[in-house]
Amino acid sequence: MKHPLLIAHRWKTLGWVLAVPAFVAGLFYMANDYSDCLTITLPEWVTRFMWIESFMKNTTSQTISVLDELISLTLLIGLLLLAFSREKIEDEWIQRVRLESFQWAILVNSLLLMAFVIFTHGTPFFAVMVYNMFTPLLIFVARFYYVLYLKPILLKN
Amino acid sequence: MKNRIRIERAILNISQAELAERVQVTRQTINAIELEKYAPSAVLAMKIARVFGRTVEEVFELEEGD
Repeated sequence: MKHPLLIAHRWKTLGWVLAVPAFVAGLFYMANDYSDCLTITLPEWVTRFMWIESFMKNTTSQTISVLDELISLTLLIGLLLLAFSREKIEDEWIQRVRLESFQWAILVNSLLLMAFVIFTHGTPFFAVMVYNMFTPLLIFVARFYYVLYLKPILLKN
Repeated sequence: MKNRIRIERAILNISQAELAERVQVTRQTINAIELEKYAPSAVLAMKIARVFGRTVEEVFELEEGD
């Protein structure tokens, strides 16, 4: 069976190596203020090509923290590798679990988002949006690996 | 869909893992089929039946509502 959207199984290890530390770092980042960490100064011409606050444009230069970008990209790349890397034997049942897990991820994410739209207002909603960048992939990975590896162990005990 | 995989495995004295290896799927897939939580594709059903030297209808049986 060919699966053109899936990548080789060997990428899974790198996925875990990137996703787990980035997930922990992301939680720390959201709980604390690290806005002064890992700063770079952007020249004026670079800010012209970026979608940033208007007051930041047309200044001589701009110093920004890239820590959040680094954590976000590492987590997204790690989760994508976990979600799109093949199992050793990618058979039809695993394909079904994969499909169901994507459906679960979209459904649960949408229900959570609806709840937060109703119950969150103002600045806290910004945090919801930040978490929401990752929740579809996080829910998919959690459900997929739970059904494949954790559930059989729990059922055995 | 009901099936006789567990019985046929016992006759051949092979484990789920051995059957999985012979039809090139995971052991979890054979387990899911045996527990009737997953109905295999026609191709996989034919491969499984062939391992047991049976026809598909001898190993798999449609239930009411299928």
